[in-house]
Amino acid sequence: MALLHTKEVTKRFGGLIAVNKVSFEVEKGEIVGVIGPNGAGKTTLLNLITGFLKPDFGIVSFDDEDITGWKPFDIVNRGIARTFQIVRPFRHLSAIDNVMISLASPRSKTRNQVNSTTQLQEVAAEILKLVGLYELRYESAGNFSHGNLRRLEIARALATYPELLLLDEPFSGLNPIEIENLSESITGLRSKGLSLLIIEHKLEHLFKIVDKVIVLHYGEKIAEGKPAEVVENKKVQEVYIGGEE
Amino acid sequence: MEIKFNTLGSILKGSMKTWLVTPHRLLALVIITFSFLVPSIKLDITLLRSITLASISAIFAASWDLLAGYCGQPNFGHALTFGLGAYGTALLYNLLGLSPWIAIPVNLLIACVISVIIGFPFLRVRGPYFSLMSMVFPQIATSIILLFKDVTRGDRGLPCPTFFPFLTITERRIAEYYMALLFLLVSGIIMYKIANSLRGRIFISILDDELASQSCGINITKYKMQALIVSNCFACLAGSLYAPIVNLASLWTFSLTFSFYPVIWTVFGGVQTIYGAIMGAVILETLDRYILNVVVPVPQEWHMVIFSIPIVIFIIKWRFGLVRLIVEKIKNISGKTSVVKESHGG
Repeated sequence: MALLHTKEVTKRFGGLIAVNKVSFEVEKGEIVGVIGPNGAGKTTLLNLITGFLKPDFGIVSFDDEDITGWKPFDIVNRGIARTFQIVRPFRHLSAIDNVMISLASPRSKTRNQVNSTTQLQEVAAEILKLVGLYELRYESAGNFSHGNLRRLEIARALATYPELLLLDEPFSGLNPIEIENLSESITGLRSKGLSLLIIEHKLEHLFKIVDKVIVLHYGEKIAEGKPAEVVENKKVQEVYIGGEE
Repeated sequence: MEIKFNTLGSILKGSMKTWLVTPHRLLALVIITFSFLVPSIKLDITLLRSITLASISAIFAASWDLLAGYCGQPNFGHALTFGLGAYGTALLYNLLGLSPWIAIPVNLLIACVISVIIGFPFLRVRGPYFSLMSMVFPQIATSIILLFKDVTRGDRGLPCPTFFPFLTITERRIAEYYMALLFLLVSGIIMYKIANSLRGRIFISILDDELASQSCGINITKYKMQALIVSNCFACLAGSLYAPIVNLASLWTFSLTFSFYPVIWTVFGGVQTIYGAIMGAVILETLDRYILNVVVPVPQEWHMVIFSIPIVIFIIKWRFGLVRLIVEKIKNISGKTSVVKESHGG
């Protein structure tokens, strides 16, 4: 049985159908990419999975449990973490404190068995080391560069000890070297047993790391398969040649 | 499967952190010691009374800062629980003959219950809507007081017994002075500790970004409720101290104007600091009650005019507050580099 399973998930905004009967699965240890032109409903789909939006129709299940309509923090504590397309750091807090917020979640508390703040800080520092922000751990997030804020978002997501990590355009605003580093970190996380769902526009970088790609167009899933297969797909070619890429 | 992080390592380093005597801690110590010595330096009853009332205002201001400055819920009806404390004490005495000492815990309990009841609709709305909604509750309280004139004496106010009925007037003022200072010291330390704990950081995360906070697995409603309860309890404590000291529970304690005082004090001293709110309240209240009354007598109507000019300048030029600015400067001198950031304001 798949780790994440969506069945005919649908979301309407007024007359617009943002996500239309999308069904797909993410297996354990898999990296799945979600692509599609702007306005295809990628971020909406992610919001539906993470509980930031409630689907009008359809079921989202995680690890054989129906999580449709759960509150965002309950879903996080169930094991699905996310990052945002536009970074949302806690600007008044230092990097280490940003991660500490996640460590204060019920899920992290049960995983950690650490009580004192000093020990929690040690754990937070370890997580920051994982994304390469260890040196900047006492720096205020308000002073971070865009690339570092992306890493911080991932560190914060990792600190909730997720089984599935959803990344919303993790490569946007990063230079090729930063993308290369982040790709390495992502495959590193997978090798530790994490499953990932990645929304991305930069296809050439995405295709290097994903096992499977889902293509959305006007809210509908038009293709699914290995990157090489999807590129050959007639519908996908139409969308992308007719589109902006 | 989980990712395992190496939690061992340099735990020793953390425990070796020692309590260093830094200039800003020394300054706090000097201020506290000096304030306790004031009665023995100069026995000026008016001055003592001004500082007494300023200390109570400081508890009130700090409690506002905890909810607004940390948790991002600017409560513009904060007088609700202050008035609740004042009227609670007066009513408990007039109806049941209870002493104001016993009234304090009773009032705090009522404040907790009220916080939970109003919290459910209250914490669902955000930003300016929260502020608008918060202004409604003291108005409702005012209406209730006016409605039950037989019990509350309406706008004439309700007399309140003193904390120290067995002392002479002078002794009483000195006792009240120390009492207010002690309550301020304890309340201030508790609120400062909460604000700088992990819980305080969670409050700040809610202020910075509610969605991101949820995506960290934080139940934001739970933490907002905690902040509301703690904040309201300290406001209620301030009210419970205020009424017996001025011997009156008046409608003023529920007024909209009074709700804005903690905002002014906190913004003047520095939002998101606690100590800024405390010092802001003490400075402005002493100025209002003592300096402009006794040292340089100015008609009461002019006080607000005199205050408003520097406050407007402060808000424009130093949005992070005067006291905060001074403390950050001192911290910088001590070598501990710390950047003054722009705060979210009132």
